[in-house]
Amino acid sequence: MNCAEIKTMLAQATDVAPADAAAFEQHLATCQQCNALLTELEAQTEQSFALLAQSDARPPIATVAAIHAQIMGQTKQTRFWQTRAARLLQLAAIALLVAWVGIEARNRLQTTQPLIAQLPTTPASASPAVAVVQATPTLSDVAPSATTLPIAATTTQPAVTPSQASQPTMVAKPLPSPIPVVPTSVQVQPTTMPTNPPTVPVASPPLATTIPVPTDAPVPSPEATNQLPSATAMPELSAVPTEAPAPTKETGPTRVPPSSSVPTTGSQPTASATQGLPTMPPIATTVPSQGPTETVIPGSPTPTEPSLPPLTAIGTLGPPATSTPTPTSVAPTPTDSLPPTPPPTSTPSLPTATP
Amino acid sequence: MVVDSVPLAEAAVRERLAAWFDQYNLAIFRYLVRLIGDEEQAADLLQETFTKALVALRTQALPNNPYAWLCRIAGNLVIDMLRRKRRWSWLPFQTSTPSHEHAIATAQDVRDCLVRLNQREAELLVMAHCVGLSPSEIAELLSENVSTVRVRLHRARHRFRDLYTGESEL
Repeated sequence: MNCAEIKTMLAQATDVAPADAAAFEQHLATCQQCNALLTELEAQTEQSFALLAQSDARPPIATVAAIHAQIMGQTKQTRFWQTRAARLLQLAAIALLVAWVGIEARNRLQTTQPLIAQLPTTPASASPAVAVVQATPTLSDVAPSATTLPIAATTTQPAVTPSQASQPTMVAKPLPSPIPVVPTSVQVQPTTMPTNPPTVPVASPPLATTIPVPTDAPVPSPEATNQLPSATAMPELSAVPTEAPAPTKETGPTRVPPSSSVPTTGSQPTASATQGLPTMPPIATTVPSQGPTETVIPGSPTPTEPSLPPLTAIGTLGPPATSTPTPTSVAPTPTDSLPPTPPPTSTPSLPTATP
Repeated sequence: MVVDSVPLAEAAVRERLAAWFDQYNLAIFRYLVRLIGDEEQAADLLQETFTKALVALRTQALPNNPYAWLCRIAGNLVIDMLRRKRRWSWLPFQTSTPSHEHAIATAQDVRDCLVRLNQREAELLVMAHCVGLSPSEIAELLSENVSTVRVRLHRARHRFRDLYTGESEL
């Protein structure tokens, strides 16, 4: 064996045969180079292991006593349930037990809840008419106290009381078709709404009864307003003011009923007719025989129907009333304070306003 | 190596092992601390060493060199434990360390090289360079030829140097 074979043998990892080991020993005894190489290798390894510092520590007394007692058999061997693995298994078993109990409890709750929920819904489904009344709740139906009650629990109470039915805002009526009642609990919120509805304010009558007529008649009360058949029942009242202040260009005498002792000059009360006073019957002025004269204002639209008197002609400047000596003051006066009108005989004495 | 070919009785084994424990527990403990670097783990391995020795003595005869025999058992336990630790540990930070920390890191490198070695090679190196046994004592302990033990010991040193040089260059 030569030096190369020695180095090759050192690099190998296979088992060493006794013959090869003997040849190795024989070569080391004769080869100083290989002997020096192996000596240096041993020194380097010794230096490396010298880094593993020597310790002067002593084992704990408890450990020494425990080992001595274990050798002498004075201590019981560690049982399986005392080991760490056994404790982990115990913890896992406890966790599984707790989880099983929780799942079982949840399942039981899920099985019992549907039965409880079905109990109150059974009478409601048996009497759908009652359920229909409850399906249209009104403000008065809501109890002032906050209670959580299922819908079926309040079906025995009347939906609308007789006293509440007379209120104008009670619009709750049974529906033609029943509404299916969902078996859920309704959270009734406490309400501050009074049971009696507020009175209808005077300032907000129905739109149809609004008459823009200056009148001194008292404002009808809400009760009277409601008692009227309709707003269209008094069309004459709205027509009176439009005709009364018309400029009187008539040349003929006004027709005065014989029973009337008051001469008419064109100024007639309008609201007195609504009061039904017998002393002041409505007076209709005659239409001028010459027909209405149109006043053409530059820039104004031309009327399409000349036969009808335009509304804009009333009260506007018309042709000079040469033959009408009476002034056309038609300001309405209250009926009660209406002064006596002078007789028409004095009208011709007035000077004419014609330039 | 084996004095008695017939195993002793249970009580005799316990008495003999207890006597060995009283005689070598300190040396084996320091040997374990040197290899591991941790006293608590060394104490645990000391108890485990004598537990294995008690089990072994029930089936085999008493060794001639009880100290070398106990150190061999302890050395194998250390190598096994170092391998287990190596699987679950990360590489230490390679920073500029003072001399003491550098020495600790180097000792750890030696342990890493021992772990990387073959089990039989590491056992030989530990018995030769940590316990201080001669090749003949190791051969007697392992029941092998002295020439073979020498060749194996040279191989182990050669491989350890290669590994340690590579670890140091990293």
